[in-house]
Amino acid sequence: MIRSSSTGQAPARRGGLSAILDRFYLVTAAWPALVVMVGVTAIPFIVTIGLAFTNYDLVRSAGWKFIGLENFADLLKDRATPQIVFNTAYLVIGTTTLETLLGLLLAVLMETGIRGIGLLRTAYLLPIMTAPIVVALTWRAMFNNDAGWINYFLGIVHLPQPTWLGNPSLAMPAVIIADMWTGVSFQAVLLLAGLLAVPRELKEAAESDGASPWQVFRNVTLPSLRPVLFIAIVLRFMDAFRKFEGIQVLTTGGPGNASTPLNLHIYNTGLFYHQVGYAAAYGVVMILLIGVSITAIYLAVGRSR
Amino acid sequence: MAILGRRLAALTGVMVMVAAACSGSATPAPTATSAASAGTPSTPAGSSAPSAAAQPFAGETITVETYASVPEFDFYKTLVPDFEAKTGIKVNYVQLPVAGMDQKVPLQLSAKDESLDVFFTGSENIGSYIGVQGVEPLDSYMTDTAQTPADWNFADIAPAVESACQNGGKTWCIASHTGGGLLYYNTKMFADAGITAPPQNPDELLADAKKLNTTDHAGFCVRGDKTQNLYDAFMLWQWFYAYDNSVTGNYFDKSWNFLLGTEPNASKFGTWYRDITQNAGPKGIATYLVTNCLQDFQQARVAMWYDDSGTIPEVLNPDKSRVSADTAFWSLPCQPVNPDHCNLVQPFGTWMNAASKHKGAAWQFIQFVTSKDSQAKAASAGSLLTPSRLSVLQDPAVIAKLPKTFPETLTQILNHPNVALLPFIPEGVAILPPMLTGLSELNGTDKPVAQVMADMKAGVDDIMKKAGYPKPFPSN
Repeated sequence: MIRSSSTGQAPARRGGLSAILDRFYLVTAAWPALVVMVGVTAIPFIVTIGLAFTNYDLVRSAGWKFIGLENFADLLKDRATPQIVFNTAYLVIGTTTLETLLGLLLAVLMETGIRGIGLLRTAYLLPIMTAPIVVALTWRAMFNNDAGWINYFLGIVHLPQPTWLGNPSLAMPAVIIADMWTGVSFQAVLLLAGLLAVPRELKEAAESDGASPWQVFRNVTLPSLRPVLFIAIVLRFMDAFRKFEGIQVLTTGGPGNASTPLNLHIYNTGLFYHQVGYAAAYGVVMILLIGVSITAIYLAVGRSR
Repeated sequence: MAILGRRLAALTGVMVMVAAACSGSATPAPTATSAASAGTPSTPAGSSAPSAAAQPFAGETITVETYASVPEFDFYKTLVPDFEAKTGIKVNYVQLPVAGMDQKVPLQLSAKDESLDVFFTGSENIGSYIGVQGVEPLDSYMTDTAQTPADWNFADIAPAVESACQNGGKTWCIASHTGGGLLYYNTKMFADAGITAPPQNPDELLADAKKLNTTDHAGFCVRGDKTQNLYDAFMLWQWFYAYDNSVTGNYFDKSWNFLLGTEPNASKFGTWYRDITQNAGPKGIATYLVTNCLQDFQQARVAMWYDDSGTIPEVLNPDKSRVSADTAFWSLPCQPVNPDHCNLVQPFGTWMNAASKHKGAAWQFIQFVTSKDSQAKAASAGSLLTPSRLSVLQDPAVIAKLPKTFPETLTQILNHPNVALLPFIPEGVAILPPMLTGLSELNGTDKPVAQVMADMKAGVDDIMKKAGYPKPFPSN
């Protein structure tokens, strides 16, 4: 069958309903999803930015007014802000770094053909499938000072049994440890897909040139993995920024503000203490921080791929 | 043609879904209200159906929101069928976890959500509820003899308790129970430690707590978690701070000075609170919620616990508690600094949403659950230990049902009430962050006490200043 295009003739234009569908099909088919996205994402996003410049609070919602940059000035003067920004950086950098490194290690292990690896791969999907609130509640029980497994096992091997969640220096590490249970698995699954896509021939060529396994990994595997690594880091990074239920269940941000990151502070300020405008200003700061951070990661990891 | 067919099919699918979604709102299903307009009130079969005149709101549906897993509210749920039969009003009785309810109700009130009619919650939020114009004043309903029979008798509700529901000369909620703060203690552990009587002052309480703090059990528990710590700390600081007035309690004087942060009492309280929580409390008390203290007390892992009386049924239930036979109650005497208002009395109010479309029916329900009959039934069932009605509180049959040592404790509480759990001003909730953080720093860190209290004061002062204070002091 010879099609008209192969004979040099232009395809015949279709008319009527068919032509309209051809021209507007994507828009027509996508509008319900677009409406939902605009309704639940774009509009609230714009409203949030607008609220950041108002004194809107739930108690005096009728008499709100625009106050310009006053919320941002208050935010800079707020005694809690430095610690909350520090906590956010601690949480985001801590979880992203540890989970990516351990996830990569696990992915390399899972890539090998060792016996039973299929079962291990499946097992590592389970944490991702568990509801975050259930994960948090389980870890809260495990960190319990009297009845928790962690201190129980530490006691068996005669190690100190610290107060995990009620200690300001251990509260954030405890949150990060709990997050790693799902985060490492997520990174491992993502990076495993990247590792399996690295051409075998490249590795074999390097090996035949006498490269050690480490040299093969560093000079062949890792550069090939860079695009996936970038995506994995960015996803984990953003996930760490919006981490909420784990902290709320484990420490509620305490003791003091020792484990309160930005998003929990925004939640408390807006919904618990009713200062919606002020919370929105913190939200705008968080959006800016995410934007700047992602740009930095892109420049460091993603650009030269 | 096949592509065109698929596209048409896809578009048809979209259209069908959109049409289905639209038709749902365009064609309402028959409701209880529409049934009422047709003259068919939903009276349960088999019950004596009152006449239409006696059921002016028959067929209306109201939504009532309250807390889950609280014996009193669980019991009221069992009375709902009786109410529905008597009034023909259908009740959608929603019970929510504490945190969910405390977050949801303010949002509903602020958003003028018409789907909520009645709700139960603590009276400490009265300032913010009035501020957002979210609650309906109840005076006109109470004085309307067509809607409120004389035998409902508002005067029977303990005035000291009901005062927490009143503001600006209006009544905004009806107190359903008194909810007092008290000391739960384990008599066996006291005897084992050679302690012969409950403590008379905070120093004795601290000494006893340390003595009772062993490898088997902690000496003393309070909610230390940042989201709940103020509630129990409020009960404890009554022995350190003066009570200034009925609007702001211990929080502010009439010149808006933040009393809780004022020295030397601030450091006295801060030092004592840190000592008892960190040196006699369970490990990790900084994350302790009410459930943690309750479970520890029930499992004999803590000897004393200061909290609300609402959990007494849980502690005395032998199916849930190992210490049901060893539990007694106590309220420390007031100290010279605050001789008359040293006991938290936190009435649970029954409120009507100002945006409700069924206010008449809502008022019928409020009357029903706060009636002498309902409270007496709840008290007799052991689900309500602290009824708000004087006639029920003094009923010998109800007193006989109360656990040992509780009646005298309740008397001490009600004779020295402090209902200002939060100051009754619109900023009552807004000043919480520095206080909750400060209390958390006291029970969970080693930051110097004076610094903690100074930060707390500075934080509250900032918030008040931003809100335009000092302002003329309000009258209650």
